[in-house]
Amino acid sequence: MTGLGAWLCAIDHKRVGILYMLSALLFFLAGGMEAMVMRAQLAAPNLKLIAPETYNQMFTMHGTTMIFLVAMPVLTGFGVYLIPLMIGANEMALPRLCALSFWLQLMGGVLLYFSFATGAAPDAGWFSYAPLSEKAFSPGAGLDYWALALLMIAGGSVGSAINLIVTIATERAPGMSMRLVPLFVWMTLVTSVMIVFALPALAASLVMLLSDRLLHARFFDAAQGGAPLLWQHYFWIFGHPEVYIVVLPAFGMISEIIPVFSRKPIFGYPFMATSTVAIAFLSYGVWVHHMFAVALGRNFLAVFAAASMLIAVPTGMKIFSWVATMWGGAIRFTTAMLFAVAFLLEFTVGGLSGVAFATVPVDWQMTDTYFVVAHIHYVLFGGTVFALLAGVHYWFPKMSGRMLDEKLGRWSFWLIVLGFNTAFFVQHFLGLLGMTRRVYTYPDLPWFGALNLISTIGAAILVFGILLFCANVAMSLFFGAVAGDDPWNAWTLEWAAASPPLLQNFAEIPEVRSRRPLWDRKHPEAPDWGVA
Amino acid sequence: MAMFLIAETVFFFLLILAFVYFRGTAKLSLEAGGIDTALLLASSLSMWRAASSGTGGSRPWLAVTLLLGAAFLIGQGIQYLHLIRDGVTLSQGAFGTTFFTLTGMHGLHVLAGLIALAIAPAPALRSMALYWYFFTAVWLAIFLVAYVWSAA
Amino acid sequence: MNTFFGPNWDLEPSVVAGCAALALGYIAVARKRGLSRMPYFLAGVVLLLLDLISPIDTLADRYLFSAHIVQHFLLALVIPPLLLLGTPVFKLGALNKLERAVGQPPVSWLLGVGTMLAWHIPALFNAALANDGLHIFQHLSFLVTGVIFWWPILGPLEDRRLPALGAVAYLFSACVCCSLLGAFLTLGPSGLYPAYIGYGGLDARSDQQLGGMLMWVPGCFVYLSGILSTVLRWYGAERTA
Repeated sequence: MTGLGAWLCAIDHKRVGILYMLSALLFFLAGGMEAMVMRAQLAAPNLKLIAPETYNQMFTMHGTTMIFLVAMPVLTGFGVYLIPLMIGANEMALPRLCALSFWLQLMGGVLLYFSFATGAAPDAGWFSYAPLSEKAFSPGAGLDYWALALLMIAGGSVGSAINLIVTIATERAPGMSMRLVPLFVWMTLVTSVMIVFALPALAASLVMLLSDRLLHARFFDAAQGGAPLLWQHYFWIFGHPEVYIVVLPAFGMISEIIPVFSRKPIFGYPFMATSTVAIAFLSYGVWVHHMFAVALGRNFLAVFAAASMLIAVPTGMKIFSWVATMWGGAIRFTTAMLFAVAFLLEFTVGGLSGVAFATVPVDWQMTDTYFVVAHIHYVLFGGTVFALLAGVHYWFPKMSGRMLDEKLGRWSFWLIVLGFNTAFFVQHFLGLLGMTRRVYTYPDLPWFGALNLISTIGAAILVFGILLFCANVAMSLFFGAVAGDDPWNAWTLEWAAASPPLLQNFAEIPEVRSRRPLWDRKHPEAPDWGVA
Repeated sequence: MAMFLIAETVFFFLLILAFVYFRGTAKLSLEAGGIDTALLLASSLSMWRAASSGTGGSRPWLAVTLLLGAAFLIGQGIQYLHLIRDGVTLSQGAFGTTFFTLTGMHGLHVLAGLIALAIAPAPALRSMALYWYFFTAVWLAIFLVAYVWSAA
Repeated sequence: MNTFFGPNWDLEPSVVAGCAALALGYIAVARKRGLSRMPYFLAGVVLLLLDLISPIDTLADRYLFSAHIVQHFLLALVIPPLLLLGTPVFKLGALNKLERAVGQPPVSWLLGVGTMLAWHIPALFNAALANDGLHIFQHLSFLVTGVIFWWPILGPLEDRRLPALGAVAYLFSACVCCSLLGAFLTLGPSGLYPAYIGYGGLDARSDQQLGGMLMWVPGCFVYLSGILSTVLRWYGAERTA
């Protein structure tokens, strides 16, 4: 079967991985358009480009799209594509589940966007607090679409997570013990376990919300004995691990890229792996920091504040590790490396603003202001998306057999960095000045107009940079220089397969004796495993 | 299957927690609940026999499991009817909401399990058995929390 | 003596004697096998002594539920690991049967977690507060079952330890139970332990909540540290495989 049919019926992990990435790209552009509509509306005070109800739909759809239809799927896609290659396997353990998970996720996205066609897109924010999300206050069908779509997407997520866990557990090449796996594999494994433990909390919340809305149940209806706060607890029990779920695989990518372009193995592999486990466990114990403003009692808040500050420690460990890897190395600034280094800086800024929120009084001042918006975009865009851009530039040759254009890459890099920081850095100040989030317009207070305009201009530059990146990808697919199997002189197993890999990844499964099997192969006189 | 069941554990744990949190009050029939529990336990036993016998011998035990499982669901349905007749519905308040959602979700999973058992090919039997034991265990937890502990 | 330590110290002679005996006995027995691990063991003994005779004990017995939680926390989660880390490798010999019966995971887990959960049942906890003999038994049980619980994780005999994945599951599941108990005490009904009426700015309800939270979050950290050290040790075990 060739052509479209082959792609629709694909169960080969490489094809499904690319399907995930394409789907994520489409939704990324949709979410980006939603963002630009918002930024246009906010460019000056008291604008009336769109109605307030439309604005609410924009921020809800933007957030929901970016987290559930872009970040999670694209990271899953990279995982599904790369994991078998990195562990020396020819396929995922459960290929049909692989495809099913993708299609579930896509169908969920289609269902969500279908709501636009009915005129009632969801509009209660991406975390839809009760009682706003109850039928009484949101009578349209928008939130029903939201909940049902998310249930489908969650199902797909859990399916792919289970698949990745089983694959990593059972299909590693001979000699590749769990102590020798590439860090991207390790982080994907930890993330997948986190998904298994966190997504059901979302599912429970959504089931409860749908019961309330469609079957007149009383979970969140205070007047009838329910508790709106229960939604917040249950959602954030999912929500906090979720933000680590969308960032840990990105960490994994960075951990592959920085060593190769520093020509040094990663510094402190055991600490990198252990700190990942620490982050995974701790992330389930800090959810209350999203609820500091809800009057839960001082002692309670203090304990969660302490735990939230603690979680910065293992994350900081990783930053040190990456920097230490670069230290003294022969650094080569390819576009992938540029994005990786930018990631370090941007994510650190985002992490610092996050830790600021762990201090309860600061949170009371800053919550629901643009300071939060700045924080989340620094960690999610400056973090996850930058890492993804690095990852695309790094693995594109493997996936397509062609190199991306370096000159276009650099242009897009600088435009994206300029645009991103212009758009979001000023939002820290807007938040400190008191501008609340999720408002469709604002009064003409000192600095509000100017800073918002700067932010909008930054967003426009960012869009341009992204489009340039897309153009680079499109052009290079057809006209890029032919890449060999191993254009970067890298060390992990995926570079031993062809570019792009054949249907059967490896003609013979290699035997692995260290963390850098290709280094061993290229340097038989000084292999990694020969070191005492 | 084990990984999937871990996910389900979290899901049902949260639903049970909601039930406990609201600590609703209503009279649940211990006898009816007890009979249902016995039915499901018996069906797990027959499931175990089905899974441990060879390809030929599993058929009759599977049939027994399906029958017992169906009887469980019917028992649930009858209880639901009685409760609704007494005015305890999904909208009745915290108890109705949490009880019906919890047992309803469990019942849906049992139904799905019955359908899957009816059409599953032989190699899947071991996984399905695990699924079945798990939902028997979830029912035990529900029974203890909703029937026994609430009655006290 | 009392004037030196002040009136808030509970200088129970049997406790002091017992700790001294433990320390001296250790030195006598371990001298043959090398005293490299002595600092851990002695730290454990000193902590045990302080835990039971310092003002923590007085606060715990009479004034604050949260102080009592701190006391039990040390007894079950801090002192046993120290004692075990301080134990040199030894031949089981006659103790082999006991170890097989009690030191293996399902049993050791149940003894450790079960003891913790059981003693927080209000009837039992309050009874121990009222009866000195029961109280001593309570403390001893925390210490002994604590050592049993941590044996498959930190015991000196490598072949009796759990492999890495098992150890993580063992500690994680214990952590969940401890968290649930702590969460229940924090968020659930107050007034479970009526002997505590509040002290020093903490009212009875806040005191119970604080106790629950101490059990919940710092407790989790102990188990998490165990998990992390297990993972790190697993990485250090062999260089390339």
